[in-house]
Amino acid sequence: MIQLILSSQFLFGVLRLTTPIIFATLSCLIAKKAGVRNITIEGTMLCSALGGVAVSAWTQNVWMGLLAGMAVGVGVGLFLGYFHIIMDTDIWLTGIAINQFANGLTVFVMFLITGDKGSTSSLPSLTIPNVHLPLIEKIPIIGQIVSGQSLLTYLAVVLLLVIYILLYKTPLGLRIRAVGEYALAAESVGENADRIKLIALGISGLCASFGGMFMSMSYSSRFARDMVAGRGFIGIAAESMGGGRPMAAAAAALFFGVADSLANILQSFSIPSELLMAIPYLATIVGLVVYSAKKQKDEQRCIQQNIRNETDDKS
Amino acid sequence: MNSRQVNEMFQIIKTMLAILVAMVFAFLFIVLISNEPLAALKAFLVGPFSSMRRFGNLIEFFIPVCFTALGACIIFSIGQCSVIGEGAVFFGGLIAAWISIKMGTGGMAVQLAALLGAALVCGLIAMIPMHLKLKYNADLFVDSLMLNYVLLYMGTFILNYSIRDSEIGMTASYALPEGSTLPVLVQKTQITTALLLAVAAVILVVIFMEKTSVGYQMRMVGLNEKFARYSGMSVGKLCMLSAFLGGLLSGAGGAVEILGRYERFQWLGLPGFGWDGILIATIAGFKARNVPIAALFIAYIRTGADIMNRTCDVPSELIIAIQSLLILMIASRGFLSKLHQRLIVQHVKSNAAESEV
Amino acid sequence: MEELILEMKQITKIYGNGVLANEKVDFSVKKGEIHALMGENGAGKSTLMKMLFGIEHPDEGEIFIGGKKVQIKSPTDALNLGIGMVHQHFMLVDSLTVAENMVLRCEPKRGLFIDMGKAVSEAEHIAKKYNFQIDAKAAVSTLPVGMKQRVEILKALYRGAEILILDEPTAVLTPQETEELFRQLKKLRDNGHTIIFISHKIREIKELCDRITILRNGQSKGVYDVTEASVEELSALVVGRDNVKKIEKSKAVPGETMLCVKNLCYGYARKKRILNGVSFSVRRGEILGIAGVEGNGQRELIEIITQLRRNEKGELWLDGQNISAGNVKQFRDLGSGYIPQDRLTYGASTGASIEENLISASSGEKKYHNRGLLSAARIRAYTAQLIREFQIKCDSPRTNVGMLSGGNIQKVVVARELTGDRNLIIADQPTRGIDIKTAAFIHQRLIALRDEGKAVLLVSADLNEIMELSDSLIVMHEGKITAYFPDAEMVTEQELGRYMLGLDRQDEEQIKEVCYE
Repeated sequence: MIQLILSSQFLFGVLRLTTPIIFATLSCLIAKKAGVRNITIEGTMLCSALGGVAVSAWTQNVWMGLLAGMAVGVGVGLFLGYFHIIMDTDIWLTGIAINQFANGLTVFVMFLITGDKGSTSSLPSLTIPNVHLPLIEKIPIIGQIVSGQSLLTYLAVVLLLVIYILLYKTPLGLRIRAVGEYALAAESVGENADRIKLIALGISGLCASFGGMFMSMSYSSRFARDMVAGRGFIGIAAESMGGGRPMAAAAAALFFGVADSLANILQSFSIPSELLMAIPYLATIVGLVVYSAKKQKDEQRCIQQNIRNETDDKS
Repeated sequence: MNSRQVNEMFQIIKTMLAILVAMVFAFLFIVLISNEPLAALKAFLVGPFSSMRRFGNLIEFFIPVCFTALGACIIFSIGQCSVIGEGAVFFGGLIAAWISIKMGTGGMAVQLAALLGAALVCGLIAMIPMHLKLKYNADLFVDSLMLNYVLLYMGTFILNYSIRDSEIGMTASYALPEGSTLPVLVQKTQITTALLLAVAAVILVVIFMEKTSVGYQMRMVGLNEKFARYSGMSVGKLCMLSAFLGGLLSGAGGAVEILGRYERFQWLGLPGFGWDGILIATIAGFKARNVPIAALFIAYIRTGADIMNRTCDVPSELIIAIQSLLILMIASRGFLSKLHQRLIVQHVKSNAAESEV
Repeated sequence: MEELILEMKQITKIYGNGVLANEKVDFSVKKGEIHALMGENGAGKSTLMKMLFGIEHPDEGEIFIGGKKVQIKSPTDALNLGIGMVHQHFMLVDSLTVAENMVLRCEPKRGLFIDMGKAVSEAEHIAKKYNFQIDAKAAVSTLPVGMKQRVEILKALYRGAEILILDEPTAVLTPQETEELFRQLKKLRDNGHTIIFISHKIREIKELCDRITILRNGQSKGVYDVTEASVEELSALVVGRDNVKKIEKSKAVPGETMLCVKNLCYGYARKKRILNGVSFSVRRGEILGIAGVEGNGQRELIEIITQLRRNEKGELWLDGQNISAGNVKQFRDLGSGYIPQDRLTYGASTGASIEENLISASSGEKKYHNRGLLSAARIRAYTAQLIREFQIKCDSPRTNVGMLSGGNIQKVVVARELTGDRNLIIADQPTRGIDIKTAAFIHQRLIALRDEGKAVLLVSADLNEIMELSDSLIVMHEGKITAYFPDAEMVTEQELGRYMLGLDRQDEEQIKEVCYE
């Protein structure tokens, strides 16, 4: 078993399975930084997955498909923003309703296009190419793991860096963080908090769109109903465990990717697959509780510390 | 008219208008995409009443979502966002099947045991994420959602390793013992005594939320938690109780669904009733007394959509999408807020005029 | 004549809920002075300044900056006019660094990115210019309060503020930090900046300011040269009563001890204990008033007594029972009523009906039930009686409390808290911000309860109320009881004012007399 886990195939699979979760995590992260709990990532991914497939089949150009999927993602993000920020709708209800909306809409549109409700296998849709990295490919083991992944897998890494830089190195990022943490402070220097939140939700939708397209244009070569299977939600959990730090959130996403691949690989042993399938979800709950409990403890300790410091100063 | 009635009237106007807008959307799309728009519209609108069997479908859909919507009302009215209903429905169905099969006979006692067992187990499970929230401040939405998936796979495991019938060609449990399923109430349909149970559940929940001091306290916690604490209510205990009752009702919904309409347990995914329950509860304004009408409405458009899907060329998912838009409009405070403002101002003015006289 | 940099003329502001916050206020500041704006809480200082900073907008009146009439619609406008404000609650984003907070919305850029190096050096440069010592790269959350305040001041200066408004800046500082702040403010003045200093600490104003404007009840009580006016004169103007309203009541006949607070200690703020060994008792048949400028521990004290806050040290005895580790329910079951100062967060649920609000503390009681269920008829009968008795104006008992006026909301709270089998009433600012008629009504009810032999503990920042209503008085200053007057009638306003402002304190023996067994 250990051999299997250490094999390059396994690690290759980990990266592959982590890809959509990374996108979902980033999507959740940027919205949360602006102070909005985006739980529509699951639905956004579904919509983009279909949008990408449909347009790539229609134009026979994979890049047009990619662009269309991105546009759909931004659209869903702004749709959420419109209802939550401008129409003042409860964020949880908006999220739940938009996810349901996406469930219905994707199947409906798929049926309109293909006459089928199960999948788009009848469409001549294109896939996003896998990329063999020159030089790195030649390195033993590492080359086998890292090279030959989907273009989107590399994009996930790039996007992680881009989001990190956006948040911490650009004026927009600074404003997003300020609005999300203390909107009044930002408004006291003349910022329009609603505008910043809408922008952040647009970016959030964009991030999710890549995750959706990975599922339909890379992981598989067609769209199928419910194909995201909770990965958008797992992204939300990964973000929580990251405690708002992009790199830590990405690490948490990787953890879920490992759990996912483990579940795949352990199937060849006599462990019931149903229990293995539950691992990523169970891991999420345990991870969240451990993280929250630790955070709570730290906060208490912080208060204690302050009291002690202040009394020390006094004496 | 007093100001409360003004508010209530506004809510009704808003809901009706949202329904109208949603229906216009639905008609528009049906006319646009269908080759036989009139037939499709007829199937959608009149279909559910065109035969006893179809009307039966409407009631059959109504029963489980009525339970889950009641559960959602109880959980959301205390101000917590737990989406455990979906997992609880699934697991409730499984546990009910498991108990029936293991007991191996039929009769009232078995039905009761299956139902109560399923409801209790789900009630207890629903308390887990709430406990984690209260104790560790762990995110309730994410935890309850993840628990749904865990329940799905645990349930599938129990199905495969404990009650799976390997003799048949599909993944399903052994047949439920004769007499352990709920008796049919209306001939030619699958309307069973489950309908009576649903009606009883509505009455009990309405009484609980409106006529007992515990239900009253739950509503107060949902409206203003600080006020509740100041008034001497035990907020934590009330939250746990609401989670328990919410899970219990959803579990019962799953149990009556399996015991009423299936010969074997054969769900391989989450059935979706939990989400529908939350949406129905939203339409009902999280008031239990409005649940039956909201659930009937959703059951009506979903059954209509199904019939349209089967007899014409319009997929039922169109209606699922439009139904979500409807909920967005009803839940948004911004929708028609200007009208609301005008109604209130008018009311205040007319009151002032009265008191001057 | 020196140049007037700022003039506000005949400013009137009425809030949506009908509170008259400013009435025809004239306020003018000379260039390069430190001008004090003094007054009690609720006198209208903050409102006046918020209008200057564009957060609120005047209903009447004009504002002139440098002789030119201006409209200030938003903070952006104010910043463009060179007005900066240091709010009482800092407008700083905790997780960002000092430099990031300072440059927010006017970030120096290099291409697409923030030029963080430049931001830091600009922050350091401006800090150095005014002799402030800060670490521009530190996260704000790691800074002590005094440092955060400096960042706020620098933030305003960075945006080119010529006029600097400081809203009670010393309220959060230790004496050492205050001294440091004063040095810096004087230096700013010498550099040509104009400073508006909001405070109610007379000694600080004496030390720092050039001129002073006094506000009371939303009206200006005149402008004075700080060096010419005496401390006594100024404090009389600040805490003075406009027209003394006599409250009719008989002499109190105190009975046995109802509530006993022993050596309560709680929390830290500004390196001092928020409550530092507070002991007193309240007896049946008396109204004990707690006087004091707000923020001297009264809020915490009341929340600990009413079990909304955990106490850290000391004991609480209510009707002979130790409730030091009790809960709200136990506190209420012993026959206590509590009128909280925050009536919209704690006192009432605005989304619930009047009926629902009236029964919240007693919903489990038999009197509302019929065969085990809540009876609408019984609740209706009970609440209708309360609505009549307390003259709550509403169109129906099922109207949401949020639809009522402030005075009527308070009547709902008071009706709930004063009715029933009561032993102890705690009234925290019971008449703040409500109309005179309702206030008088609430006063009468409290006196009536006292006459029935209940114990009443009153906290109020309204000097008229606390002096007229109380039978005996204690004064709180900086978390301690600094005076006890067994007979409230024997105290003069001036005397009380000196204790409230911390200019005087009684010796331990005198204070100890408030503890009865």
